Amino acid sequence: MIFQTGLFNLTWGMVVMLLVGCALIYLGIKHEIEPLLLVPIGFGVFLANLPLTGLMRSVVDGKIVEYYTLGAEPIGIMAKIFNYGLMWEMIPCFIYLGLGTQLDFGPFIANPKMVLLAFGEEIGVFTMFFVALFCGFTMKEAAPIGIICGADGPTTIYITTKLAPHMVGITAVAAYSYMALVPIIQPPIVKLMTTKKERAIYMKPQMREVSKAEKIAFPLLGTAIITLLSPDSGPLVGMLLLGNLLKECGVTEQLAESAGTALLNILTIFIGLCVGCFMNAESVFQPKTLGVLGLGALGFAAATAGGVLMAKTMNLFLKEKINPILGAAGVSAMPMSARVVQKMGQEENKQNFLIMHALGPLVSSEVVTATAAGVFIGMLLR
Amino acid sequence: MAVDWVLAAEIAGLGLFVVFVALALLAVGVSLSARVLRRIGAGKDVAEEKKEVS
Repeated sequence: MIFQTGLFNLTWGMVVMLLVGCALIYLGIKHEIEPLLLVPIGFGVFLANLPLTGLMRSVVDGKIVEYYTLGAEPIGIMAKIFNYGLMWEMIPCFIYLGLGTQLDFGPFIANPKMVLLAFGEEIGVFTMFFVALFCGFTMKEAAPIGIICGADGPTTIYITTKLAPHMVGITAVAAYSYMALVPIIQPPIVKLMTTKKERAIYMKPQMREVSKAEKIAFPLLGTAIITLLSPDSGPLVGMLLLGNLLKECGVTEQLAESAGTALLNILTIFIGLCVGCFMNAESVFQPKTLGVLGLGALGFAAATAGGVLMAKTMNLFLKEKINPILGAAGVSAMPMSARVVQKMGQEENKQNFLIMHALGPLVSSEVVTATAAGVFIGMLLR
Repeated sequence: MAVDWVLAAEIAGLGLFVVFVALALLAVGVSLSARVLRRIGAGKDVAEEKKEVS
């Protein structure tokens, strides 16, 4: 009987992962690094690495096992949430609905040329796709690693569950960790790629006011354009822009409020726990898994560099030059990238208020990352 | 397992192309819709709201 207790089934790997779970909870609570995500993820890691809990129990080929794999019949509570919430695409899509209610596409509509900065991020995404292939990952594994560069958690989880479900825990942790590390990763790259004179380029803070009708028309226009070009990004982009329409139309305030608060918070708990529960000792302590973390950081730097390069390229053709620091806002790390841009701009030129200019590429990069994910899914699943 | 580099290049090329076209169409579409809305009178509500407030 005593051999059936958790104590006799505890391994060293599990003990290390229990400490990792504690570390994530500590970072979330003590240093307030993405606490809404790190606390449930950390607790999920803690739970998943206590033996015999049955949280991820499922039936594979008629046998009951303590892990969940693609095509298995879920029995444990977390296996069920993972299967019906993530594998059935529900959670990432509804998180996008909630996010849509919190985005303001006004700066994007006011100055549409700035959205090209988000293209720089995609250069980073596809560069890292190739780097991951060179490092020995399969194509279905390399695609989510590329998408990590976009620093977009729900999209990373969405594409990973579709293409490489065994990597979902580590890619999600990588995407969310690099979002938190934006203020550390981005400034040195921007400084390395720009001169002091370029960083001091002054941009008028005022932008034209955007009418309510334009803001209502945008979700329809955006959904049509993106979904026609990349049909597989439809679920994500459609939900994001539906959320935005609920916010902007002015007659569905209750729906927008529910989607942006209660629904988003509930789904954040589910996604955090699911991601954490997938980080068990057996799946994490593999060279490939650890490689994802390194490649993710490199990719995030590449996406930032791509954005800065794009800004510099645009300056070759524009009469009124744009500040290349704005290239850093092409990465969809909301709102940290905008804060980094504003702070760096002020350091070089006290009169510069770049935050409003940064919001355009920042919100458009949410749409663009989902578009790139749609291309990967379309090409690799068909 | 050997990597199909041709397919990889195809994915990257098509991906970058689709994203660039999507961004360009969004930028053009937004500018055009703003003009159309202004022409049909639906884009005036910011100024109207300001008048009402004042």
